[in-house]
Amino acid sequence: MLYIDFEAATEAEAVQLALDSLGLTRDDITYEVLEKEKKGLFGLGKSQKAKVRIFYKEKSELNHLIEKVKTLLLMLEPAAKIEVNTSEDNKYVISVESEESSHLIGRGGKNLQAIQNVVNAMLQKNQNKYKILIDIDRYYARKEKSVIEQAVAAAEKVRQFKKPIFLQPMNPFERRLVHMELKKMNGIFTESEGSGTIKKIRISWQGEGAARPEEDLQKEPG
Amino acid sequence: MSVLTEGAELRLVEFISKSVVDHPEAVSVTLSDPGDGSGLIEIKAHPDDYGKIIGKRGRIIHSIRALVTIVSRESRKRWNIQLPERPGHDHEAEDDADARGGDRT
Repeated sequence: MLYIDFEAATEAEAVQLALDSLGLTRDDITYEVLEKEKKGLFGLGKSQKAKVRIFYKEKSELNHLIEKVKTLLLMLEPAAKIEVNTSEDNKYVISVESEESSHLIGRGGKNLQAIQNVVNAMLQKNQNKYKILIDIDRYYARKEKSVIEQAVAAAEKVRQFKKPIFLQPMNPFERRLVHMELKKMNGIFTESEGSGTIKKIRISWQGEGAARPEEDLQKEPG
Repeated sequence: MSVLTEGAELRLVEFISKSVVDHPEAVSVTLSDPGDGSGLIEIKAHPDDYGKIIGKRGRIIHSIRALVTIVSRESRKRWNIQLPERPGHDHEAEDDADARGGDRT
């Protein structure tokens, strides 16, 4: 709780002045009268201004946004447990835990993506100053693990049979994980194929000790 | 177990629409449910705001539809979510523009 003192001719004016300067409404604040206004007697004596102390909670743009996202999530799942974590500057992860998480995530993360799209649209109104990532039941961590496991298993097969294998279509983030991981494996060569943001990775055998083309990773954006 | 109350779909659509537009006061969402599975939720908004509710290549309106299915999972109702047809709006021109804009999906 923060407070600021305001002075004006009357108590009501002081409160109004506070609301106007803080950009808050009457419901956002509580106040205490420090000094009541006094009028000078017949124009004699000292008149005194009213002084009020305004108590308010900081209600920044960010808090407002986070509240909105929470409201959205609770509309989808009233029993969800929601936690907000800051990762870097102006990047926030909102983690959701729920028994209904399978519905919230959807097949292949479809519903989670829909939630994220709506959240991004909300953020756009604030010139994208903040980034909020919605994570449900550690979906991204689990996804990451399974993508890497599948890729490694496929690469082992490629090594064994010396024939290229295609992985399922993946988004840029997942592809990057695969490229990075399989780069560690000797003789394995990875390449993205297709157009658009969702592409397939082809894992092929290059032979031990062969020169490794490096440009593939650099071409791959994010 | 979660408790989703009556009208959750309508409130969700209204909340999202108001959150993404520039003129939230102009948003109105109406629901009609004849009970034969042809339930309709219609979003009306300020003329300049439809693009925001639809999103690039319909991304936002598709997402709204997906989220409504999350909310209606218990009632097992299907909702048709629509925006009013804009008179004089040239859909073909928009499709052409999309095609020229290249692959953004």
